Amino acid sequence: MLALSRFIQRRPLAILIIILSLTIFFALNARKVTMTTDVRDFFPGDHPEVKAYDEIADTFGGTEYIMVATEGEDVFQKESLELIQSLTERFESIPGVDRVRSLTNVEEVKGTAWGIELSSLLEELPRDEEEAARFRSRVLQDDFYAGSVVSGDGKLSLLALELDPQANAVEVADGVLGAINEERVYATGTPVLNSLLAKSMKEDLIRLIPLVVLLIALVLYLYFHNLWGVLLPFLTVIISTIWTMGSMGLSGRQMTPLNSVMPVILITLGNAYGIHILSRFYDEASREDPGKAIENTLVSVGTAVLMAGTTTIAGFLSNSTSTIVQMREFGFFTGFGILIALGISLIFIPAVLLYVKVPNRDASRESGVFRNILLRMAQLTVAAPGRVIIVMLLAAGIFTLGVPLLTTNSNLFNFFDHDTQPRIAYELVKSSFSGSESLELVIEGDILEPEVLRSIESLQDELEATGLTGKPISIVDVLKRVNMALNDGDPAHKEIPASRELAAQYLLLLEMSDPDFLTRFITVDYSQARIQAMVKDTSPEGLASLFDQVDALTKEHGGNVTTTGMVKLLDALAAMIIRGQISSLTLSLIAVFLLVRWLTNSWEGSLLSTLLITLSTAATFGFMGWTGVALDMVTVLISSIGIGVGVDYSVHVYSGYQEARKKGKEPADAIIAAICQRGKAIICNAAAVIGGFLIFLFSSFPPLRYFGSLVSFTMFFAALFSLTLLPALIMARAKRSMVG
Amino acid sequence: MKRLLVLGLLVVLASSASAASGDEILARLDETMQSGSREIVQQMTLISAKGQERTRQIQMWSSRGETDRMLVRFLSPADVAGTGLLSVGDDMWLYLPALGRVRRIAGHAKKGSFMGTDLSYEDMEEFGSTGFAAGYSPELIRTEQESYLLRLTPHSQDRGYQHLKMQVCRERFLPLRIEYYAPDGSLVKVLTTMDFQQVQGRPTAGKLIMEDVVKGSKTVLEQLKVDFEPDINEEMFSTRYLERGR
Repeated sequence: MLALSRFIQRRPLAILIIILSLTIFFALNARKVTMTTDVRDFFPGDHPEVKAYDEIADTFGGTEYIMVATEGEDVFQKESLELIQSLTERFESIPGVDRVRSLTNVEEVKGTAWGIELSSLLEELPRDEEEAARFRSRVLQDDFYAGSVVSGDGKLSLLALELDPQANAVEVADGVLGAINEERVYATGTPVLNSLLAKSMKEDLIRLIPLVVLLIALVLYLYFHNLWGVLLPFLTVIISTIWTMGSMGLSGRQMTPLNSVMPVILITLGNAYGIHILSRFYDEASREDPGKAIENTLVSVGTAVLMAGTTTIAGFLSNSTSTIVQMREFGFFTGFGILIALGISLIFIPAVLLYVKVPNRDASRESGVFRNILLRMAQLTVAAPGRVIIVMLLAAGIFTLGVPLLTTNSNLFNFFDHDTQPRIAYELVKSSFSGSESLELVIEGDILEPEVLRSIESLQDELEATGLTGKPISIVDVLKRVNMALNDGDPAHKEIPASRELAAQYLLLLEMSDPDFLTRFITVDYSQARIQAMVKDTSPEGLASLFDQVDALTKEHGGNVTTTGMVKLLDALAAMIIRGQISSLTLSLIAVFLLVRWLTNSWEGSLLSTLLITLSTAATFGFMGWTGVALDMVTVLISSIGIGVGVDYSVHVYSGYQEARKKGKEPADAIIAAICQRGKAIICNAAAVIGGFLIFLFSSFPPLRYFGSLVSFTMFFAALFSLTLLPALIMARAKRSMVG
Repeated sequence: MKRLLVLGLLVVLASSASAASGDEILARLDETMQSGSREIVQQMTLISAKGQERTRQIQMWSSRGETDRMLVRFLSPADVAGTGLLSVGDDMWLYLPALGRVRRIAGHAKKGSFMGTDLSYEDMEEFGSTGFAAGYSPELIRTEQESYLLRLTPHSQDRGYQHLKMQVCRERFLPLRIEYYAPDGSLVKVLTTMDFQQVQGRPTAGKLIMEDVVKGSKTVLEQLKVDFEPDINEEMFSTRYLERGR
């Protein structure tokens, strides 16, 4: 630290120029950063679930859908049909939309008096009421269409847009949303949600970041009572945010819902180091010249700041073991950002301070109520450490009991409030149709054999009987319809072709009409068939129960059945979140323990700090369990933030205690000194962090709101424990060793 | 200066000569490929983008006249053997042996795929009966050592292509490669021919590969038997005969 201080004093101007020009360089690159919300980006490329998903998309075409619902009194009215037809044409022309299935273009196997053909259900718009009525009853009586392209009551129609697996789903969704300019037309499905999510998340952050900045400025001003005290910590976080975004741009990374909270994290956390440096510098500068003051500051709090910074970085870096790609990137880049904030605080701020005229300290800061409270607290802790320990452990214990109640959720729909447009559309499609997300089953075997076809049929029936999906569709339904059509449309013949030959010849017939029609049901070598069913309930519980039942069903049926679909990916993501959480949690605790051990050179210090932060984290998870807040892609971040940041408070208190002990104070006095000296900076920083994260309560996304309150919760406990439980534990131990 | 003038003159001559010969080339090509009647045994292998394959064998008789007639009979695989397709002018009938009945197919099926392959009926017909000159205006783009490169623009927009690029073998007057371009100008399909042989004194390709560039699928057509002077009975092109099965 002494060397660092000398270096800064020798070349302050050069340091300022280099840092500012690097900032400009990174700012230019930061503009390259774009936003992605594709769920597949969360997985490593070789993940088995992603492979299975891509395999099906390759074989049968898209499994990702955008659903557009139109609402009206009667969708069979001429105007409604015209609207559906116009929407169908508009959507078909959007690049990346492979197929559109709507009331006006859905294929029908037509058995006419003289033959059969595969053509549109509606060839021409009805010319009069009578024709419309006839069309209406024809469609509503057919379970192939009612509930799939039109709701049972005829008030809603559904357009299913099948996306090209190669296309960027979010861009396609943007196109679709842009093509809709009528009222009472709703779009939903994962790509739409992703697109809206990206857009509104951006808007949300643009709205929230100024609030965070304002709030922190206020806290800083209350603490320092001067402009530089506000400006310098701020410059630190702004520079670190710019450098981080710039390096993301340089390495071609994208913003995700996950790391879009990163700027706020950097702004809230990054100022802490500056606060500690400035706070000490002002103390020193009232006695010494600036050069000496900087030297003293860096020597006394420099190590603690470095320690606090490295543990925070370790906390974020612990995410780099996660299997979720975006977690890794989030961990890495936030860690990097904190590293920059730390470096700027230790190098840039002292360099600036050499040029700044230091205002005289406000004497009132030193006395006052605040200090008395801290002193009172310290005295209480020293006098009765046992009581403090019991009270705090009890508080932590009660919350921790909620841990087993913790749930996970990766359903994107939860990112929207109930009264928002995407959620309304989702509920609409869910209630009037089967749903907007598909479950895909691929059956391998000699598909044309009647026995295999019958097995597929019964699997479909049983799947539908679970009540968890809409009507499953497969090649069996197609063959049954052809069979009926070729038997003069007699419904009695809506059955599986009696022989393999008949099935093969039907397929040949269909291929002559439209070879692409079959590709989404069966492979060209007739060795694999796909059953597709829309999932009604995509909540984690709904999916868990669905997959349990599907597993049981497919086992029963023997043979080779693979299950996939976007819902399967989301389910796998939930599992990965938990696993990733456990491993990064363990890793960060170990890292924090070792770092604190190394930096404080004390087993006691590192053990106690690690214990405290474990307690705060456990209490937070317990709190989530009690209140029913699920771990999802955003709330999952709390533990790494909590551990890395929360431990700082303990580190500051402990190093204050060590410093006092080195000066020859008794344990009790050393504890009081530590609390009084460091307490104020801790409370100021905790207030800034908690305040900053509480701003998320104004977010329009439930997960961001949860995230904000949870981090605040962890920080509150971490700060509280560091000022009460930690000293009490040190005191209890000191007392015992004195008795011993 | 003089040299430049000669060069310029040559260019003018060359271009006017080639403008005239586009039609000639196409006419000679049609002449080589068309025959009054023919019988073919063909193996069709469809290969999907994923590499899955399906192979079928058909026997096909065709006869040109006031109306073009064609009879197709599936030989294998066993589950579709005996399936027959009859086309007379714009009318089409299908016989499914497992159903035991002849069914008429909608007229627009002709726009569709030929037997579920990557070729459409019209692609197929141009190769055999109708030829190219009837439907396209050719333009000679350039003459290479072994081939001509033609650009064919369809007379009618119904054809579904903006234009075709055809490489014609100078020696045999057979297409070596045809590129099919969609109305928006993008390449959609590529046909290549190979295994040339002389049959009854006529050059013919023993193997055709049609690649669908958009879907990534491919159809390989292998001529197992070609007969330009088959013994054809006009009665073969009737629904009664179709219904007789094999």
